[in-house]
Amino acid sequence: MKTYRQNTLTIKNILIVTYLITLFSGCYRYPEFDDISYNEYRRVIGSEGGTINFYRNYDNDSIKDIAVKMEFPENAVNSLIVFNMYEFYDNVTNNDLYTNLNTEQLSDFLYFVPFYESEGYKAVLTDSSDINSLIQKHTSINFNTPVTVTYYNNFNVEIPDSAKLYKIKIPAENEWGEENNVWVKYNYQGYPDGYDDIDLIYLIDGKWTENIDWGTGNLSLYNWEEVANYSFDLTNQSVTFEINSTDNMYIIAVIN
Amino acid sequence: MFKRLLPISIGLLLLSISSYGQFLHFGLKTFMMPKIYMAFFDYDETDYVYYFSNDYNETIRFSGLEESETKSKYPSPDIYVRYNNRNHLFFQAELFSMRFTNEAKYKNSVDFSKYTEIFNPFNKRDNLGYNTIKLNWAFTGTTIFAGYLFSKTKALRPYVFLGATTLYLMRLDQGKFYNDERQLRNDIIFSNLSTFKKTTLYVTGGFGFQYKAFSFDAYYRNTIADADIYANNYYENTSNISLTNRPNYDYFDSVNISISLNILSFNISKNKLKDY
Repeated sequence: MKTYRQNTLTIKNILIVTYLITLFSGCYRYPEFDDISYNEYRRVIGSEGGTINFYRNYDNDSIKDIAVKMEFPENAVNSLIVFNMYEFYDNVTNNDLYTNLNTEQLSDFLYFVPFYESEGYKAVLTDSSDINSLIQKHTSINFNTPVTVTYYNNFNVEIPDSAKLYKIKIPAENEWGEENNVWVKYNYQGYPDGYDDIDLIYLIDGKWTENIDWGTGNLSLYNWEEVANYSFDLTNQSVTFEINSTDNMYIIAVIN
Repeated sequence: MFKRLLPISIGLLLLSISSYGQFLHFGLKTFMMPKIYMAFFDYDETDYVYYFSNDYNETIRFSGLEESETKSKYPSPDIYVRYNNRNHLFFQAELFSMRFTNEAKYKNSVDFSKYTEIFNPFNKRDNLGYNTIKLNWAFTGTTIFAGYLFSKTKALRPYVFLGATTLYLMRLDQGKFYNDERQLRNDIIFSNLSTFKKTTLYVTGGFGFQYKAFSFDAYYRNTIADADIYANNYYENTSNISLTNRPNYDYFDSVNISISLNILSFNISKNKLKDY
């Protein structure tokens, strides 16, 4: 008669299975999540106030490397606003300022392009295939209370004692007439990429003022005005000042 | 009605389990997921946007997970214990692990040429998180199911089964690919994607074939409960939902194929047979 050898449920076998299960479970670690706050790294502000720090992109997105700090008191704005910050530089303009207007440029031209978060750029994104159809004028936002701005200069020159902070007028929508507006330019993704370069250059070099049509004037510093209250921090190579609206560019310069 | 059906079905189940022809098998199994359906909740486009305050005013707008590339490339290990009652009915409990990678997609407001010029000037990296972030997932899981074997006289026996699975999220992290210049920005994006529940529940059903100690099967795992920590926020307040505590994952389903082998088998009705 043929006999069959059957396995039995012994302690040894149970131990083997238990060992396998233990080994299997021990191969993984529990997840660990970083707790990094988006609030520290976003450029949106509301009526509750707060700070926007614009960071420079180089050097590992270092959180310590702030380009511009904006400090909003409570109720400075009425609703959620997104700020874009731009530093404009044009080599030819820099040369014109130096050679023809005896002006030494010591920083980029700083300005802000705001928009209401509720409006966003939905219209842009839903029809981004036709970027040419996207036109938007400079958005003028007046703050209820002044906003403190600290600008950390990106130029590799020390700020001399003779340097001053100037603001250059950006006309509010239709302020200089319906045909005289500063226009937003867009990149290939259909997002704003600052204001039109030529508009900015003509405002800087005075070829466009409230009395002179776009691009028809002579070189001058007509649109330049020294900021009323500001303070330089020579240790950090920064300047702190207050702004009441988004209708100006700012520059550190020496006018001889 | 359900209250009456439950005891009746349990009674029928107990009646069907006799003392004869009972086997206990311990085995090894490996499975793959040819298709993984991990879906995001749908939001209005304007809602799910990161406005980063870097000097390129980078704006990230989420569009979801990359489904086309979501599959498990590696065979996953699985150990199981199977209880066979007579020739047809069986119950199985499994413990397994699995891992896979997928990519969350987004739109970047910065032009690609400008982005690469800044972060990838020597073109050494693929796209450095320009419009995707890679997610590495690892789970362990348990499955319990009941199955029914057909054709008891054949060597190749088809079967169907249905049961429940619990998945435990063991690891979720970014692809190592991005650990460089964009770390801060990527961490923020990732931290808002870390909303998958540690424990999630599924129903698992499928069919297969048994040949001697081998089994081959295909099955579908379907999410039956919320997969996201903040899922309630989506259902309660879809129109006005903030970026924090925002649910991301709607469901996580998968198609699986597996092969298994009984390693140790025990006839636990042996003592009963001796009585006759």
